[in-house]
Amino acid sequence: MSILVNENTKLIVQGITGREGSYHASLMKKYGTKVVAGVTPGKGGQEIKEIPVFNSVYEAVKNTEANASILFVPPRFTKDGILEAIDSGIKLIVTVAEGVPVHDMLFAHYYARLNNCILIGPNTPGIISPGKSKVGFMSDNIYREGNIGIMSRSATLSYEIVNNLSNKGIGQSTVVGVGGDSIPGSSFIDLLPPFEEDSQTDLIVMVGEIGGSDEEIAAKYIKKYMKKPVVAFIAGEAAPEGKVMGHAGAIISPGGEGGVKYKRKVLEEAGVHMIEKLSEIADMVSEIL
Amino acid sequence: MKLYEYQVKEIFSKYGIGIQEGKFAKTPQEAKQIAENIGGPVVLKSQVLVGGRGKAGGVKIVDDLSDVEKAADEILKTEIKGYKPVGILVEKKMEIKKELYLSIVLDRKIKKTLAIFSSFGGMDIEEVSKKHLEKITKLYIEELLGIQDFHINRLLPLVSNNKEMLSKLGKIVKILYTIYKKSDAMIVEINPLAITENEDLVAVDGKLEIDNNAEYRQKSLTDKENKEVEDPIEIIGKEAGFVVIKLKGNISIISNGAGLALSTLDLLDKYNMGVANILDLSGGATPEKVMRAIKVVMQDKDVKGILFNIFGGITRCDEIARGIAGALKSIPEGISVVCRLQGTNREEGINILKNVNLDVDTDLEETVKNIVSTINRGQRI
Repeated sequence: MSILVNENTKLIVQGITGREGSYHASLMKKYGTKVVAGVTPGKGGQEIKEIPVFNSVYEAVKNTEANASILFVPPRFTKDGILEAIDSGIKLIVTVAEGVPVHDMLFAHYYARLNNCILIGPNTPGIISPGKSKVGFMSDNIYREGNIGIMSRSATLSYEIVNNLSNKGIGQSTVVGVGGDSIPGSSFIDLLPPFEEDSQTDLIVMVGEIGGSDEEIAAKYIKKYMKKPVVAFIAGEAAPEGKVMGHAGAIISPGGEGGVKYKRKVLEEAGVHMIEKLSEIADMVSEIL
Repeated sequence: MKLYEYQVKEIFSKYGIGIQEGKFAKTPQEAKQIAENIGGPVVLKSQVLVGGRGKAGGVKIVDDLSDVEKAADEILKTEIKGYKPVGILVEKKMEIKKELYLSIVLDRKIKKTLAIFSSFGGMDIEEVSKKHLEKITKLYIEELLGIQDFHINRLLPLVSNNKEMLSKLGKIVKILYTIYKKSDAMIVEINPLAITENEDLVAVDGKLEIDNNAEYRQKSLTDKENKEVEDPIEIIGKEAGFVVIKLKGNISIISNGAGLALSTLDLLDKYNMGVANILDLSGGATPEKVMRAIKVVMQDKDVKGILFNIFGGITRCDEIARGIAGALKSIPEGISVVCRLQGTNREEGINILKNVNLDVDTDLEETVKNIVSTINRGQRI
């Protein structure tokens, strides 16, 4: 199994004629992802790396029965691209751009919900189900197929976790980047139920950071509903209050809200196994399983 | 990005929310001129981006117009919580019957817009919610629905069931929501919202913070001079195309991701090592970009050591290494440089740096230990 993406994922790349879009379309295809179409308005009829290009998502879906889309589209065109994909019946959308306006994401988030569409990102490396499909730009050679589900707000920290696990022979079912923005299309809480249901996943690793309450909201759900063990890491213990720490969403409010200590406490109370250093992940996972 | 009160009020006025007669002044002479034009008594308000200016001497009521210049001079010289005012808002003094509170804010916890109204204005809303919770109404506004009349009706009890007042208030709530959406605001607030002797509603103070990601389409608002809250090194970084975060300490962290930089900061903190700044190269950095980054952080006089933490994905370690090798000569001998390379093209990167006598770790903790041990000796490893 795995979650969100697998060998049946038929992917559209929106913005395929761009530098990043064409480069990563070919890398995803090389990995084994079924990249069935690309979309760039005005460039329909072309082919990029033997992938047919269409003028609209609607046309692409009609001709290829695609069921997922990834956007390599600049922040200012992201909202329109997401809405176009939703309106064309796509049920899984990944948007990688960093810097999408918050109000755009707010609308896209609810419009996706209304249409039972799962929206991942923005500011994410994407999703990979090792051995099956990659919908994103992560460097795929560090991943191994296995039984650990990973969800992370940070791209680089998910690479660290995966690398530590793979080096010790521990593989992953699906690795999802929820992204570093303050209004993500999907949050940790949205990914916990599919991971819990997934027969391939035996343990979930949640990589959080300062800012917002997504970890706390997830903790409540974990305490109530999760039977599978959850391991978590929270970055930003040494971050000062009131400063945006690189990710738009990584900020501790004046007064301490969104800080590491509180998140850690709430997660521990929910029965989550906490690691303090990334290098501890493999030992922790081995100990639990 | 935060706007100054005078800028916020210009927006309020443009959209039809009542404000006092007044104008922004940069000098005491200008303030005097404005005061004479609108007539006394006037209120002089320091224009800073932090709260609490009333208590810090940033607001003065002047009855005699011949005192305006002196009072304005004092306000301009008074720093509020370390911030220098950019000018003074000179406004006609107004009789206030009652003070209310109104704000529209994005609550990221629940991914919803929240309109907050209180019949108890003038003070910090956090304080009010602690002491007079019954005087606050919160309206949750569904994104796909927007603000509707039924939302407004829920405010009726807080205006003593006065329907005429509710209609005036409702109009302002709707305008404020429009401003919130049109200016890509994270928060827009009127505090206090005054009821005048004539039962009119007037915005006495205003706050507006714009989503940084939307600055490109809010040029008319963001082209203003609101940059002084940033540290000089952060501005230098921005101009060179990087996100730089200024902190307190002596190490500069250059990394290829926000999360990675953050966990490096945490680890250095565990070794009691402070961080001068963080620079995020983000994905796919070229050697030229790395050299430019080094140039930026070297302009921070606090820096005694640079720690590179790179986990290659899109970013290739050999490209990073080429950049470091190219810039190494420009880094003074007294500054330690340590590198951790992991991921794409790691071996090539390590070899490139070996040629310039720089050892590379693949383990982050080793790298941190290295910089801790070398920084005080001022030696390069």
